[in-house]
Amino acid sequence: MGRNSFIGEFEQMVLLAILQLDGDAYAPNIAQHLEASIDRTVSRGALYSCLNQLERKGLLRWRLDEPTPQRGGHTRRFYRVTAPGVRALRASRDGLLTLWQGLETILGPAK
Amino acid sequence: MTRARERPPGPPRDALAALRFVLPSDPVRDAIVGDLHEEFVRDAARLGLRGARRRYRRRAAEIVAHAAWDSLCWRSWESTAPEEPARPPEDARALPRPGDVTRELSGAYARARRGGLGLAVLAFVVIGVAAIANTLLFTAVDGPSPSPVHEASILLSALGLGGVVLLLACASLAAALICAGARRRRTRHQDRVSITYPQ
Repeated sequence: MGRNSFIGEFEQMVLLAILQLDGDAYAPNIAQHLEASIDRTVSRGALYSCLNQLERKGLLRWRLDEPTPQRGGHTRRFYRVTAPGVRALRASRDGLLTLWQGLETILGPAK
Repeated sequence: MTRARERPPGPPRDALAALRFVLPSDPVRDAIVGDLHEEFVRDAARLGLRGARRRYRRRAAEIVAHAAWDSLCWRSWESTAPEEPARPPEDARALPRPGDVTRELSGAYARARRGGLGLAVLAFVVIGVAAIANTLLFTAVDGPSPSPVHEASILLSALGLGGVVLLLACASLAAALICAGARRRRTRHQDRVSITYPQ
């Protein structure tokens, strides 16, 4: 597996949030969903940087929405996880689950 | 009678200008400005105009810092091609239409114009150092002549030679950085093409 095959923790969170938002995933929504889920403030700079990286890796695609007055006449970018993105998440989950096995005595059961 | 200066009830202009300066002229910039505007309107209803402006500035500063850093690391925030709706299959043997070639050329020109902030900063540094080195060189050549003190002319020559060496070093560094950036981009592209995830 190449170096770029792995995705970081924040990248995983962003990809999972986009999957959960299911078609309504644009940056402020993703940030709100993450903040509600992980109870941590999400830096907008880190979020856009992460989205840019995922897009460059081919794990995300985007489409533009029509500009609206609520957004000052600016467009909105909706994100969608690509098939390689889903495969990367699956590989990451499988790897982590393998590593977690047999550690219940030390770390306790999952909540 | 003094009249208080009224600010328009919109996002802070300085933050907006900073965003427009740092972000590439791309759909990503329009979308980010729109996202911040939407959050500003929401915050203004909840926290008031002052609180919303403060939040807008903080978010813009975060975005500017990340975008500038990414640009310096050759990771400019330029969009990839958007997702397109499914098209009917075209005849693969058909010749490209004149409109396609024009669109490709205008796209290439726009991409070349956008460039990266990192390269612009590097260019400014190289030009600045070159100007200093040039000044030192001509100071050595056209200095007070004839020099009343022999040591003074030696010192001026040394400064001039130092300037030339500095200029050559900077030019070499710039060339090395540009080559390294091009190689990294090429490697990243190859990695992206060759990434395989288990099914």
